[in-house]
Amino acid sequence: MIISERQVMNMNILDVQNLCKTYGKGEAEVRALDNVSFSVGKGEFIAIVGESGSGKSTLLNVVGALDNPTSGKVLIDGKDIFSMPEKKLTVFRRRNIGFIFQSFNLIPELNVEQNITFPLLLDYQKPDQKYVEELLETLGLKERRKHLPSQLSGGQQQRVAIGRALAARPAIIMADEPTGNLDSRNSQEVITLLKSMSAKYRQTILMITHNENHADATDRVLCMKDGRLKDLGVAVR
Amino acid sequence: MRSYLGLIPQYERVHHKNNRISVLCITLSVCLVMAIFSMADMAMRSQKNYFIKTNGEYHAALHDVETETAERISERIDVAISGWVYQGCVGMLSGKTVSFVGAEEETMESLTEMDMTDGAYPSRPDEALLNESAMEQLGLSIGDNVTVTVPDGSQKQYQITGVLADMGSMLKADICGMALCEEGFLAIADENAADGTTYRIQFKGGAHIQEAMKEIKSQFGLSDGQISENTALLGLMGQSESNIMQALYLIAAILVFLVLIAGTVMISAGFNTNVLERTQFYGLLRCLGASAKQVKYFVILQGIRQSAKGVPIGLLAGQVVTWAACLLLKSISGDRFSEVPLFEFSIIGILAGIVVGFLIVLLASLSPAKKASRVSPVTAISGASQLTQNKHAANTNLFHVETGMGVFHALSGKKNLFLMTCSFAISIMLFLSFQVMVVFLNQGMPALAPWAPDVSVTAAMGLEPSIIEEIEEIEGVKCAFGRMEYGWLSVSSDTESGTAALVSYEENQFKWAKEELNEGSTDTVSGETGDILVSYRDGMQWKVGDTVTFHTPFGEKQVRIAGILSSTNASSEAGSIGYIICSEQLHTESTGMTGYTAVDIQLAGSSTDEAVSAIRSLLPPDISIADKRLSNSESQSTYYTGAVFIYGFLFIIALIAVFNIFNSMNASVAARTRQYGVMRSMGMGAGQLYKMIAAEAATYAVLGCVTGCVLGLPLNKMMFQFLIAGKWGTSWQPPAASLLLIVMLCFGSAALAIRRPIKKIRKLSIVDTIKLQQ
Repeated sequence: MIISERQVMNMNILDVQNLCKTYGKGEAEVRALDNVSFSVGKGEFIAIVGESGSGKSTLLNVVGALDNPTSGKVLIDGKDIFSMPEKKLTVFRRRNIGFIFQSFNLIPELNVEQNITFPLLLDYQKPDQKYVEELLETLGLKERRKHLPSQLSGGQQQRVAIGRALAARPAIIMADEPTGNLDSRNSQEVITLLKSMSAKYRQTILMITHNENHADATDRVLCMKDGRLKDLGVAVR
Repeated sequence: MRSYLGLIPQYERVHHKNNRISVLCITLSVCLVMAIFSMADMAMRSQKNYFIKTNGEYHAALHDVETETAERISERIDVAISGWVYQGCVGMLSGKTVSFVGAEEETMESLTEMDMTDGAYPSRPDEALLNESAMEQLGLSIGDNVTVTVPDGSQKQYQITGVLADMGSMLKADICGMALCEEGFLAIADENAADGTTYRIQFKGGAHIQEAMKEIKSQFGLSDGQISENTALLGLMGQSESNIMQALYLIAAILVFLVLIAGTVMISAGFNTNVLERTQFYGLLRCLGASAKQVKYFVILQGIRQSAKGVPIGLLAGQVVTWAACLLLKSISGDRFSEVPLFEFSIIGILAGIVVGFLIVLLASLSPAKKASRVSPVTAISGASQLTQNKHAANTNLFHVETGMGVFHALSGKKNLFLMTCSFAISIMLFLSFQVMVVFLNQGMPALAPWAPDVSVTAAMGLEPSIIEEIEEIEGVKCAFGRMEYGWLSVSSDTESGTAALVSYEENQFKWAKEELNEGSTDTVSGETGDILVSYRDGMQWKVGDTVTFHTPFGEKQVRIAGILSSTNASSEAGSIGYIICSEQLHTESTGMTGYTAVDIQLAGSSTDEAVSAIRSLLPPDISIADKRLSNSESQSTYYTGAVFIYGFLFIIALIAVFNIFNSMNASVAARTRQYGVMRSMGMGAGQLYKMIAAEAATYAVLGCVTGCVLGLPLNKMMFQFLIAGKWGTSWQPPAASLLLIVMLCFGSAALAIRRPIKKIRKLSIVDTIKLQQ
């Protein structure tokens, strides 16, 4: 057993306060998120577990500013993201939140390197070539930097997606079942990679997973059930 | 469900939205193709009616043939109607020239341009029809008797049995028209009748007229001069062998081909919208054990079902559009569009709609089936083949990433790119081709020239220049201007010599002449410099700056050519080297003339009849006054009918391009909606997303415009040189204004086309967008 690094963090990178998300009205009303509150410190690697339909993806989408909450607050790096106007929120998301999807969602028209630097290109920034090289090296994609997504295996595609999420050095990365489309060997590789990235770059990661083994690899496990969140505390190794 | 084909209605029910879009595509395409062909058909019919009205509905005319030959020809099985039309004899009626025409009633009615508006046709030699304006001027009515000086100089009395409609040519020449029965004409005919008399033939429908004419020629040993075709009418029937008509047929064939291609491209582009979804479905069928042949049958039946729904609605809509267009023309100006047919069907239009509808739909629907059979069923189901089979990555170095990707999206779909480029390019090519035809119509009609007079006065002895002021004082007269015209002036230069008609212009005419300048300037001509303008003619060797010598009755005079005009305003006949235009001063110095031999008058307002009467009363009775109002209005009618139909085509063709880009952008956005969601989640701003979609649409527009200009400008030049440059010497210049207009239209439609998909994306939340198709 190890103790969560949270205790040694000076400040929270993510603060979720009384988050509610309701779909439908009247009898058809569904409370996907029911008063969810939690905090995440910088560099923490957190797993969110729970059954299908428990509200995990909704939580990730709302925290990642892809969806709006019915009520409640989300503070990333101390900033209330839903008080921002749409334009500002888009730029904030571009610079501070990285996403890793189950189905990779790479841009088919862009090669590996372009996909990785995509958030920077959207921000009209010149990518830090040294950092990009380092990422390619760490992800084992140096030889495939000019390849298109269609020329890569599933595992390689997900590594590109991880690289893309890291490219802008975001405050937090949201990973929605990043191993869901991969075989066990590739799944393990991806989790190891995420863990090492979290450690190397002090990268905060919020990951949804069904796999208990993968949850064990994280610093802390949160459990969603019927829209409510339960902090299961420090993961057991 | 009895067989797998029973799945089709169920598939359509489930995908009712897409099915509706496909049916709508077919409906619109069929409607547009049918409307184009029907309107072309209506324009041809309208023009044919016009030619029948102005020339008569005969196909061939025989000159100088024996009665026996004529009788034998009339017995031919392919001849519908034939008869003698006697003309060429003139007499005098109340001091005015009267032109006689003689024919039997049926011949007059069917084979001549003349029309009886009231009364009964003359049946006896002493009965006659007189034209309407002559009856008005002489205060005659049906049943009255008139005394006419017949060709041999004797007086003969006729009873007026009916009214002959006025014809532009009669009023223009300031003469009366009198129609007699055959017997009546032969009783007064002199030697001039032989020149004007023809035996006119109308062949039965379906007859091969050129073959029949050749047969008649060889059977009766007729010379080329003895048999002539009614070129205008045969031209519209597609049976003329005249060189000009053959060339026009070629141009018409090119335009029809381009219109058909435009229709084909539109349907193909319309069907390209849900290829991905359909490819996935056919892949699923293959997975479940359907053979490639079964998929093909499925697709064909599906196409036929959609066509069966779309084609009839399209035909109905096309018919309504055509009728509405014809009605609109008639309601705008019943006079100008008098010959436009109302509520008629066009077989050509209906056939074109049906063929384009069914054939192209089948071809377009077979493409996804082929695609599904080529890729492995699993890949087809996943749909991965559609979005991930790029060979190169997008270029993000040249532009910002969103612009680079937009351009890449446009360039990566080869088929779509081809269809879109073709669609824009064809629109531009057609626009540039039709533009020349409008210029041709405009140039070919003197009645449309700014100087076109409503009334022309010619006085061989000359009229005092002060008459202009007197005429301008008459109410209803807009302006009057005179010319001194001297025919047969002997002129020479280093390169050419011969005779020319020397014409003087005044201020107004010099101002209008500027618009007719092929080269040079008119500025120095109006002054006292001794400069002249010359009219263009084929094979002309004179150039601006050349010195020409006038051999006048007062000695030789050297002048300099300051400009060459494409056309001139003159009443007298041109000399062997055309017309020479000079100032009034130079004219008087060269010829000694001081009075105007021609005065043109333009009228304004509605009471023009009173103005014409006032002009007549102002001038001495022996002066010829040509009333050109009717002939001008006939020419304008032809021009406006032509121009409206041409611009109508252009409008429909532009619609095709707009429809294509709308379809294509919708399809492209629909196929990439999920990708857009992913990009939004990565932090792509709404503005960047719009830029990406706009870059895609702009790429299509730029490529289409460049291709359209590269192919359209030479076509425009070729048609211009063929139709205009050879005849009027006008040099070709890129049609900058038209080009700018069509290019702006292309970009405007591209800008409009992206509005709807952008609105659609804006409404979708990022999460919903990513979830789509997941």
